[in-house]
Amino acid sequence: MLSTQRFFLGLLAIIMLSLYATFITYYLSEQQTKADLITEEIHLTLSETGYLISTSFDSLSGIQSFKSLLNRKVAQSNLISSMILAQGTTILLSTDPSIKTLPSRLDSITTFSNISAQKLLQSPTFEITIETFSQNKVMPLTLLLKVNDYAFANYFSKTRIQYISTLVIPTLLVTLSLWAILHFLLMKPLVELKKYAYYSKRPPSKFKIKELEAIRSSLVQTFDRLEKEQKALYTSARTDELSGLPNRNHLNERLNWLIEESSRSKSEFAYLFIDLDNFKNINDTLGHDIGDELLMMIAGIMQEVIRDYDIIARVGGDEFVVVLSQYQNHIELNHIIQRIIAKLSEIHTVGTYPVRTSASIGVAFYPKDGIDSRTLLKNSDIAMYEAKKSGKNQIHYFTESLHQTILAEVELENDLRSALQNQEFELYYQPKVDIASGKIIGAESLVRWHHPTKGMISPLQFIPIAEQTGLMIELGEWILHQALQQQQKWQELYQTDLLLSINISAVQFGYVQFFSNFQSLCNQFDLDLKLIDI
Amino acid sequence: MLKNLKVILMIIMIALAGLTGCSSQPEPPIKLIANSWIGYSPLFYAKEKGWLKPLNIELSTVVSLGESIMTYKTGHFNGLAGTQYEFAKLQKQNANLVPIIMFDRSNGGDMVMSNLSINSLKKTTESVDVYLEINSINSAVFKDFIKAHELENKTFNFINKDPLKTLAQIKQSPITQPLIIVTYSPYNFELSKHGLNIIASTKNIEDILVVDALYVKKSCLTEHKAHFIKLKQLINQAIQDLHTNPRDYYEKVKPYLENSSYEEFSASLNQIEWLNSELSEPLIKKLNHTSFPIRDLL
Repeated sequence: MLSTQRFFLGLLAIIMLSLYATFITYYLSEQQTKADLITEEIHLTLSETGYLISTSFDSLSGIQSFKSLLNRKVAQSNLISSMILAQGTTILLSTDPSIKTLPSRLDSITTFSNISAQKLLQSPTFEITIETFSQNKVMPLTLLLKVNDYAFANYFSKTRIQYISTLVIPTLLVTLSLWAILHFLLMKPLVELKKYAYYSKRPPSKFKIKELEAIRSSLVQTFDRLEKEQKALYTSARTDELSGLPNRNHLNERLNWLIEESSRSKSEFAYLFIDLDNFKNINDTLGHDIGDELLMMIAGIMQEVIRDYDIIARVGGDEFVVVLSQYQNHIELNHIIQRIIAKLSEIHTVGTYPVRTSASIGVAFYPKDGIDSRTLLKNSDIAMYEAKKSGKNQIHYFTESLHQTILAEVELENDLRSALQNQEFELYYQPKVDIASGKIIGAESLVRWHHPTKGMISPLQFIPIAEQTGLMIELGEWILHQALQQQQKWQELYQTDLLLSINISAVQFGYVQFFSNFQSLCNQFDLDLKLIDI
Repeated sequence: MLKNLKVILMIIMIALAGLTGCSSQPEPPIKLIANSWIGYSPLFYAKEKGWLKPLNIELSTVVSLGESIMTYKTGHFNGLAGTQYEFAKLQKQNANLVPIIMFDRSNGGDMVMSNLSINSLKKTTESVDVYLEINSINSAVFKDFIKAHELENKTFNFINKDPLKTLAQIKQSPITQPLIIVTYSPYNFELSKHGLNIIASTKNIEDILVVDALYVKKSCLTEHKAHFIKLKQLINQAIQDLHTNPRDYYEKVKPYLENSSYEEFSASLNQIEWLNSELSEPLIKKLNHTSFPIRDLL
């Protein structure tokens, strides 16, 4: 198929070639006309001169009387180089003394029609035979005329230059200008329109041609409308109409992306299936409008609670899915879930009705409980039913052992917080004895937790929890304070120089204020730092 | 859209019409030559009456028959008026001419004039200057003259001049020696004023036949036959007008006949025999005998 550019290129080429063909034809025709006029002029000159000689000739002895006539003819015409009057091969008269012999008759022009410009440019000699009479006897003489090469060449080349300068070059320039105009006003806009029609991106700027501008404008409007409609369709296909939350399609899209990402980074995320408890009752008692309003409110609450990068979607009537990732540990995860439960459990005012809600949450982990969206949904749904069975308004993890472990960790964390408040921790100092001397050379402070119901709990159990929950900072501060205070007491009481070792968690070293706090404690107790071993 | 198409079509049609108008050149005229001769006066009359223009015929006039030939040879003419002598001469040079309209037969119109009588010429021992246009019917007339009067042994000094130049020379230089001038009407009238008398003419030289006709190229005749038929009718009309109102005819053709007087003009008319009507049988025989083609006569 022909492109616009090629079409116009071809069209202009045809026009230009046609014009040039016309110019060439006209040029050749004009050259021929000139040649004809020159030939005619030469013929007339020869005829007239021949007639004058013929009618005035008496005898060969008086032939010189015609020399002035020949010289005059040559002098009067720029096109004539010389004229010769000859009898047979004998030159009787010549206006050019350098001519000693006659040119061959074959090289002479004797008929004066259809002489081409090319032929004239070959410096031909024209000749006619004239009848003179000596008494009443016919004496044929030959009158020859040589043309002026320079004048001829100049005469014809002038026309050539005129044609080139007035027709060939202007035509070329006009054609090029036309090409440029067509290119910028028509072809380029058409190409831009074509690209825009294909890709519907980057609309071209306004065109000069009215019709093209109308097409451009229509396309812009159409594509704008299509884009808006497309966006609306896309949004409606991925958004829950009631809550404005992503729907199942959108959830799956984002989930698939997250699965790929987590697969690459070998990380975990939690898939939460949230079902409002007793929502049917609300619908039945307060009506569906209130139910819908409540759902919208719940959606808003959950969006506030979760982080920006977490995923939330409404997948059923009163069913929501929240996907949580990038949590430090299950305790942090549990905190987030607890926040959701807590927020949902508040009393909400829907319309004029105070409504108390709660939710049961089933949790499945990627990749442990499923590696695709369908399995994760199914397993979290199962876990959610477990939560319902267990009395609603609670979390249930799909894997029972994990469920138990997390519950235990959460319980321990809660106990740990209480322990800090209730001062259930104690520091024990284990002496360090020099075996050689049997003397005590130092002591290591060791924290111990006396749980009110569970008795002594090993640091191996609570220290990791404290570190995971951030309680380690507070616990570490307490340990440090206690240990340094004890060292001061020992020094005051016994003036000993025992080296006291204090265990510091890595979490504490990561705490920005650790060193400043440690320094201020040392200053507070006025201790020699040499007696502290961290 | 349809409206635009109509406008474009209209513009194209106007442009084409304009181009056609510009490019339609007038048809080139039929160019004829004739010299001053009473026999060709119907052509001059037709020209003066404006009859030639509608036929697209341009008539150029020259002084002599020799000049007619020379001018015709330039290649710009379609035909010429002349005697059978000029016709034969041009035919030899492949002129491809054909006589189409007969004008006249010289019946005293071509003549030999001299300051001596024939007897005096016979007796003279001096060289006799002979003024004539060698390259014309003059030569034939003179040849027949010397043959008829047995003057072959005389010494003649031929001077090749057309009749007008001859007349000019006679006017300038007094005649001091035996002289013969071969000429034709109307130049004889002026020459007779300078002591020259007609001693022989086509009226009394029986051997010579001098007919005047219009010769055109065959191709031109083929292309414009209708024009020439019309021209022939106009020539007949001119001769009829001459007979009807010779004075008016004379006034029209006077400038072409060296401004001769009405009397001279009338005398000239007596020296020719019009051949515009049917040719007589004897004349046809004579013309056939001289291989003068009359098949294409209109």
